[in-house]
Amino acid sequence: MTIQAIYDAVVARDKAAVEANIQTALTEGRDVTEILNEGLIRAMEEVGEQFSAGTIFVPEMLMAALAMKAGMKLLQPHLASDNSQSKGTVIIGTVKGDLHDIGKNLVAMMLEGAGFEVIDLGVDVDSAVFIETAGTRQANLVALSALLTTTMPAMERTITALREAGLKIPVIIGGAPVTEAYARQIGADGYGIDAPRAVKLAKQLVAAA
Amino acid sequence: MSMTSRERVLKALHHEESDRVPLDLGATRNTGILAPTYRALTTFLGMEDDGNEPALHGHAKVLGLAPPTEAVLQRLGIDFRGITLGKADHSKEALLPDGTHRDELGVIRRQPAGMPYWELTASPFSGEVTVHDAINWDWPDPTDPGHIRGLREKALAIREQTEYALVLHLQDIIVHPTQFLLGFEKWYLSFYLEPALINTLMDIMLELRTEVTRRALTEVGDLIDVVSCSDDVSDARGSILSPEMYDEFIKPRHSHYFETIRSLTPATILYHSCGAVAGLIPSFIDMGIDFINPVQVSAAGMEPQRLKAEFGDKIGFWGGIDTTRVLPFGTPKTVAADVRQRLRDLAGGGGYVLAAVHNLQPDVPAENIVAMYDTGRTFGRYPIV
Repeated sequence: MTIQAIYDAVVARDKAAVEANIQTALTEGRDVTEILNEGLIRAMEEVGEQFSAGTIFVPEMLMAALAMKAGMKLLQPHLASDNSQSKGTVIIGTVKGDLHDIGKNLVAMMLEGAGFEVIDLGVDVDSAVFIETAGTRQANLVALSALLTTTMPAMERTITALREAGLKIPVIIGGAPVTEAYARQIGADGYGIDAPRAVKLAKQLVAAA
Repeated sequence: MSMTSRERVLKALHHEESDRVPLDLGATRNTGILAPTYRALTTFLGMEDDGNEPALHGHAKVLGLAPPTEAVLQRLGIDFRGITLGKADHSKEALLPDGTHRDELGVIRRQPAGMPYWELTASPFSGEVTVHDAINWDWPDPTDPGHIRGLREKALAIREQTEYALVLHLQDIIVHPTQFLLGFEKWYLSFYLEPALINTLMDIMLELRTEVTRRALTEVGDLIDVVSCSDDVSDARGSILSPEMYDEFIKPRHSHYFETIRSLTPATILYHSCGAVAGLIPSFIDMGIDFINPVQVSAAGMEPQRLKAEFGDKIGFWGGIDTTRVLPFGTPKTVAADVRQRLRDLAGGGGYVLAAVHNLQPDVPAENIVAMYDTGRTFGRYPIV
């Protein structure tokens, strides 16, 4: 069946096959939400599992994400304009003083692959920008990244500032030096050891909120 | 049994126990100390800040390192002295009017406010670039005399006037430079989307690095005890590329590079790759690498005791004192306990040099640095207990 073919093509990182199969599914009049959820999102879950298990690596995960994105692009015009398919809005960024973005970008991509609307604030992001964007975009989750032990404290400052601004939305953190214990210590709602696990956590927290 | 630093080091490098485990600070670009950390350390030790801020270039510059003075090295009992390549006479490297730094390859970095290091902000090949563009790029000249000017004199001075072991630190090889040239995301994708481009860039970098290395070792290959280089192939979880890609793109080039080194010096080859490298150690051994740095004990599968048991007879370990938790967030007491444990894990039978896992960042308190080296000197005495 076509949906399975879309799923298989994403897992196989075959962008052309994803596009061709989505075209076929659309021509066949398949339900767009089903294509999205069962074809693309479920496939990215499998890709995430393979990455976490160490059977694929960053290049493979990026290639799968590109294939998924190409598929999303074809679905976009057919999706309801009220954004009702979105699993929620996530604000993501690397904290003040830290310019590293590859880990943050991977998490952003995987969140998109899971059906979230992702607002990527980039790197070296001031806590005020997180607060403002989280407020104006009615975010469901904030995700903070830091690669350095010396910039980890900026995650704590950002969380404190969010709470002081009265924002109660869940915050997750990640980055090479981050641990579960550190997440608890600074009042984060969780920590993802890698991109796929950050996505799992995001789903749980947004569903529970 | 009292030994000179060099005698002690040579024993450790040859996997023999000496009087104690050798200690490193600042002999390589991966075992150094950042300028603010260094200032706090000299203050803590009651040593005059001698204003020792030489004009750094290349990696030392972007990493924000401060070369420790002789007085500090002696106070801590450091057994190595390091030399490195000089700045090219003709180089793209410059501080630009907008406050950014351009390196020899044309990579742009800026210093985030209040931070000691410089971070990548623009990669010259991040846009559309053909193989032809890459070949015709304005590459640095590996024969530039600035790289090796005075190198032999410096090496001779350390060899003839001191009793320390001598380390030559070289540049990174093919992984890091191509990541900075392309930008990280494009680098990762290039193996699938633009294999001809990544192959070309890696070949060019290998040729450049090999030539500079050949010239440097022709000067000092007979004088040095250790030759050190770096190229990160892992992150905290594991290898950054699949085993198949590592074997196709990285290993043959690294092999070629290490063969060149081996043909020009009998010195111990020290190779630095951050991260969880346990699965790659057999490849490192294949390629003739003698010691690995930094033994990132916080990374997956990098339990030091297991590494020593599995690979300790074939490769040595240089580093191992954790910089993600212990050094920045511990106390002198917990640092001492960690150092003692690491000595028990890694020092048996030699083959271990004690150093921090990473350059000492400003969040590492001076008392922890002193505790690390004092513990190393006291409890690094054989037999380790």
